Amino acid sequence: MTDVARLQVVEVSKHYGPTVALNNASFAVADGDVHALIGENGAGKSTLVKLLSGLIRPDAGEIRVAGESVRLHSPRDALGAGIATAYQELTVIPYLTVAQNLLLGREPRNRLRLVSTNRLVQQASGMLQRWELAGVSPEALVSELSLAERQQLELVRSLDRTSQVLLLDEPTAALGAQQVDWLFRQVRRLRDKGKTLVFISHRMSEVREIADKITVLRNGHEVATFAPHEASDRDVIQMMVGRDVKATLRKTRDVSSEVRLDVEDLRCEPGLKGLSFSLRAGEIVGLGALQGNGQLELFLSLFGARRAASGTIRLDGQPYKPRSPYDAIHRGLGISLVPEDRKAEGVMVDMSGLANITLPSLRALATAGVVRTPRQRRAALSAARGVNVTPQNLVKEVRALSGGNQQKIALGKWLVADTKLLLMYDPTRGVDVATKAEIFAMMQEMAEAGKSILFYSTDIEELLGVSDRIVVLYRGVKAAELSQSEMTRDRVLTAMLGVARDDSVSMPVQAPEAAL
Amino acid sequence: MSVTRRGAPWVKLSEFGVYRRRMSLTGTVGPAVVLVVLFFIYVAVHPGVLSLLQFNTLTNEATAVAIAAAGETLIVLAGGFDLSVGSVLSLINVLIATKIGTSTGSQLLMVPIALGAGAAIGAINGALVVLLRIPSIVATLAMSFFWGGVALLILSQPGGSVPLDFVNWFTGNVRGAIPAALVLLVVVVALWILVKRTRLGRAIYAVGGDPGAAAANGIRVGPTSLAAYTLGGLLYGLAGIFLTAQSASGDPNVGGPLLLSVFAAVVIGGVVFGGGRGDVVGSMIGAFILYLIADVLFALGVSSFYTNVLNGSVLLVAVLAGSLSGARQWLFSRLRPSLSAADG
Repeated sequence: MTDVARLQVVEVSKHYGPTVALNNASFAVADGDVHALIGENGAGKSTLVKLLSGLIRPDAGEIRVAGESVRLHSPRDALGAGIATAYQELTVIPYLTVAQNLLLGREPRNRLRLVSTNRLVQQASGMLQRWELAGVSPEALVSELSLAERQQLELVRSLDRTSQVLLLDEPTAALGAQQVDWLFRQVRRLRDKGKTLVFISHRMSEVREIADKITVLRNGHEVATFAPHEASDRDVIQMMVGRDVKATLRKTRDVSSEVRLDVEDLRCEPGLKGLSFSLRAGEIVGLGALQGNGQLELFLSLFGARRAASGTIRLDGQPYKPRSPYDAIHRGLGISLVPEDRKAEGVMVDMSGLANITLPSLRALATAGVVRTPRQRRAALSAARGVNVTPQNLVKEVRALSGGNQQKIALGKWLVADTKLLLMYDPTRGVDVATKAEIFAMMQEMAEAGKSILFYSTDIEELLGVSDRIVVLYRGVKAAELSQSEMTRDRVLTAMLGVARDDSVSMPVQAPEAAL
Repeated sequence: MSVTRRGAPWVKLSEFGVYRRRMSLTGTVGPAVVLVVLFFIYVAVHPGVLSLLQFNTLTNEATAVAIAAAGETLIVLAGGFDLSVGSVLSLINVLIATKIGTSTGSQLLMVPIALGAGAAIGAINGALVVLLRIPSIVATLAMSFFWGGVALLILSQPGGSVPLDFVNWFTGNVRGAIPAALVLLVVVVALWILVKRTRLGRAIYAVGGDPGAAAANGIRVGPTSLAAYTLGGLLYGLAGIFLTAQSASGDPNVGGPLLLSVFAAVVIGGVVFGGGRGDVVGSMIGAFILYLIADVLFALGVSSFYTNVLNGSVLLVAVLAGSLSGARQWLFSRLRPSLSAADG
């Protein structure tokens, strides 16, 4: 490492309410390095990128560029400090042309300080050629481009803007193999010019291919920094996972042989690329996947919030094609979704718990279309008991409740609604430990009562703790299916990272004891 | 871009393609075609319109709404919404009608005063939205009452008088050949083309298209919106001047009925509520389409009661035509960020 690091993060912390996203995280990036940041979901990678690109401010700590402490209060500040960012959530504007997007905010101007359209197109065309993306016309509207092309555009813009440091936040998520090669060529060119790059990826093979240094983050704190050859994949996974493997309490339970949900070759844009699996009555299937591997599309298409492109779904043996969440709840025999952002999608924060908890079941609670209040209250109370919400909390506005109680209300809805299949999308995000335990106990109870649960969590430990079976998604297809005896943290994470599928490293995934 | 050499005629053709494409991106081609067709129909059923006198009348009747719609469009393009346009027009109108003197100097002075007042009002509206973060519909609805009230305080009932010179400057003919209103419209269009080519112009489109993305590109979102409201107000000032010249008197309620016409013109002009798509010129064309429809129906002897029925239908067709091309992409791009998991 050179004397002064090009980019240095010193003991930075960031909280979101009770959730700690970064906890005294420090790391340094040497001049001219490609530095990879890796870690599980929620390890703090994206928060770090947001801090460095000026989108959010740290609660504590310091960021230094070339030894100088800098304040990054806006993306403008970050660009001024020489830090360019290619965001994971695209920041190209769909109704502008490619050229207008590429040069947004720094359009070429003539002597009258007017934007020169011809030079705009010329410069953009030059940029596209410089970064080997000449196939895209500078006059095309961005909304006409494919998702991958938009991602490339986002990358070209930030590549071209890089004066010192370039942050790449999961740049390969939407790219195909050739486009990843393209990106890596550009990254190397930039590095050869002496620029510094921070590369965030979930994919081990990519990190090994491109990075000079790797920093592993876990729970918002750095674990280690090393060169790729200094650690095997197994070591890296160990570091990401940590050693705090808890013993999990699990009741063994008989799962009936009755298939409740049968999904075959399901495809849904952009992430789901042909998934098949089944879920039996009274079974909890855990879904393991790193962000953006198709799990959201799976949940949304099962819930009728997004139309699947192809594939078949059978529910209790009947073909099932939900066109809306209404279908899912009413005709689809009680599929329900616990969206990950409760405030936005799961509960109406300005309504009472009572109103929320009975919302999907109003039809059943009504006579001739008029909701019978006593019946509603009774149903709500019994559901509240089921999810350990006190009657006092039931009458309060949901806004006033803690995150845990809000989540319990969101779950309680589906107790009232007599749900057969519960879809749980990261239900424990931002929930305290005690509530987590309650939620898990509730899931077990529901499963015992014959309900089926599809459970996605960003926390592998949780998946291991409650699932009867784990299905791992990688790039939109099933990467592994692990029975209870096969599931280990390593194995789940290995499949999530696509290590075995990428064949770029020698790390065989075997299941010898399970191959009976 | 492929750098192949082509023969000279081809270069010209391909350049023509580029310009046509740039034009079509603004969404004004459709409205322009409709306007031309309507005009030909009108000429066919009522050839008298080709006389200078009648052409002047035709131009004058739509100009105030066209310029006000241009102002509204600036605000809508930047992702805002302004319900106060009607009241602001009334306020400018009574301001001029009560302050104007008979001397040429006094009459001339009214122009910068009205433009300045319009810009200041726009800046205040914008500040409520940008600095106090009040949703634009609510803020401008409130300001609609506020400015309307101020107009009534200045002039409680129709009155005031406007010298003939002032009237003639704006509603007469330049050199006895071209309606002054037409010249004014051309000036507005020319200024808009200039503004559109400044960085501010580009920033307005970017902020309206996706404020988060614009900010990530180092664009100052707040000041850009504020500028859009201010420039919009400036154009209201100009529209108010014209309206005053046209009516030759003051009326504190003159602007109210124009509010819906302004919004109709914006929609017919292919501007998309929500921001980022459309063009000021489109809205100005939209205003003329509105008035021409009424004229054509009148010339055909159709009862004027049908005018609003047809206007409403045109509005729906305009929205549908616009939404067919872009709605799916727009929806998709709007849905994606809210559904993507933000992780730490």
